[in-house]
Amino acid sequence: MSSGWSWWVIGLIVLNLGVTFFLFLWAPRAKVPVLPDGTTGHVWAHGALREGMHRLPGWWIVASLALYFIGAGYLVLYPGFGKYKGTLGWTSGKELAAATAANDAKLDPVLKRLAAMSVEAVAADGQAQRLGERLFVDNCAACHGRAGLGNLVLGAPNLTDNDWLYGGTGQDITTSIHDGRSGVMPPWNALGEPTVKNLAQYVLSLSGQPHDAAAAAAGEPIFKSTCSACHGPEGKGNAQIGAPNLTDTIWLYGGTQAAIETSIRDGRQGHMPAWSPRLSDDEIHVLAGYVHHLSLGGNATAR
Amino acid sequence: MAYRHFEFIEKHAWTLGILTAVMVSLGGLAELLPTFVEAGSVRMSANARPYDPLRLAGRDVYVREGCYLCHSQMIRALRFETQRYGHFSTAEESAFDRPFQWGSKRTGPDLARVGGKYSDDWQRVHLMDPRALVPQSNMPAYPWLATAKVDGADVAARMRTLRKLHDPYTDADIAGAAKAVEGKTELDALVAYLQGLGIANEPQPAKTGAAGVAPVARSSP
Repeated sequence: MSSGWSWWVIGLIVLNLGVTFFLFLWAPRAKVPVLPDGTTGHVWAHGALREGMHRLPGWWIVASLALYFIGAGYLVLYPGFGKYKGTLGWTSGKELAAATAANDAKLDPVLKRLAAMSVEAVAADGQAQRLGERLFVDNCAACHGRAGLGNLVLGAPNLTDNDWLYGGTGQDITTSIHDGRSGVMPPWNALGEPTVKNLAQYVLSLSGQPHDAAAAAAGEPIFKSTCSACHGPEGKGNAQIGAPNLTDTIWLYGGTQAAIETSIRDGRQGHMPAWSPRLSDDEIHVLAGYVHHLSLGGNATAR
Repeated sequence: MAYRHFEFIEKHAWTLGILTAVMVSLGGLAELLPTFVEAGSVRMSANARPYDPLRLAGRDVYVREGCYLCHSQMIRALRFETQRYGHFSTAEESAFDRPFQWGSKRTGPDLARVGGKYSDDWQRVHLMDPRALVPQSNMPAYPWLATAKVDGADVAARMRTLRKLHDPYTDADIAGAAKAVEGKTELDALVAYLQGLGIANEPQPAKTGAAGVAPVARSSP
């Protein structure tokens, strides 16, 4: 703040406190002419309301005086009187730093203790589960749902079923959270709609769902030559690149014929953002433990 | 001053009103006026860029739809806010916001650093049907954004106006605006704007400025 503005603020404070303090001292001493009936003679509503004359109550005077002392004390202790910084040296930045340090002092030992443990062990730790749940609800629940059940609209995987796109070890989960994941299934509409439909029938057959056997047979060679590059010749998927297993009953975007056709025709580019550096490595470690805990049906036990 | 002076003030409504206004305005004159006048001295970092055309269109959709009524873009310097949302907001981050999107009304979460927190798809689906993703959400759906096209000529006109207000758009920026938003819907624009919040379009705090100001939101445990 420039010294010009500093003096501006000081002037306004002095003016404000000066005027009100003058009135506080002087007004009770002002001689108010009182009529014989005890009123000031001011009337409203054609005399139905008349202004009486009473002294200010003692508590009001004391309370007002106290406010002047409190105000003066505040201006001495805290910044406010122009450029003057106050004897306490208070700033919002220092208060934030102190509050953060106080919180860190409580949290750091916990995070440090958990950081030394494996993700699998963190999953079984009660304190880590409570911490992880807070982090999960604030950061992960938007896509995976509060209970971690996933979301077919987004293709956000269910985290409670112990079926993994990119692997389910502690390290795999940590990597998924830390760096994010991007699905890269290209659109296959160029193959033509009949081929897309045949492929969908073949995919249905892989997981043993009702399907048109003739169409599936027609789709099979295309699958073997094209889709198998990622999903494998048997459609069992590939955790290296996050290609889903097509032979089970777990579906990212739904396992109906229509959903599968859409997936093939338009492709899928599900994207999980990287959580580093939004979350610290220690927080990601705790979250990985929580996700592992969820995948075991919420009943993780130490190995 | 004698009693008759008070009596005069008390009995003349205009005098009473004006003197009351003078006393009430003192606080504002002390707290608001200096920062208003000195606002021009807020220094932007060297890599600060104004909104690109698509994000500018998105920003205007954000304002038009009243997103600010439920979402603030101001992370306060309080531990429980910085822990959840990241580094507190700084003045220069809003240098290109007219009007600024601060506020204290949070029916939904603060959005100052929401960019990149969720995927583009998430933002898209969430704007079309919030409860498809967050069953507990009470946010309204904005399905019309998906069909409304962004008008390139209109965006260019807005950029010319903002340049009059000293936003550093070049002639090339403005000439390229129509192409940059060609075929884009308001939903595309709003998603681009949201995905840039706290990341792409806001000036990075100067490294030499306030100590400890990190350019990217980082939650401290």
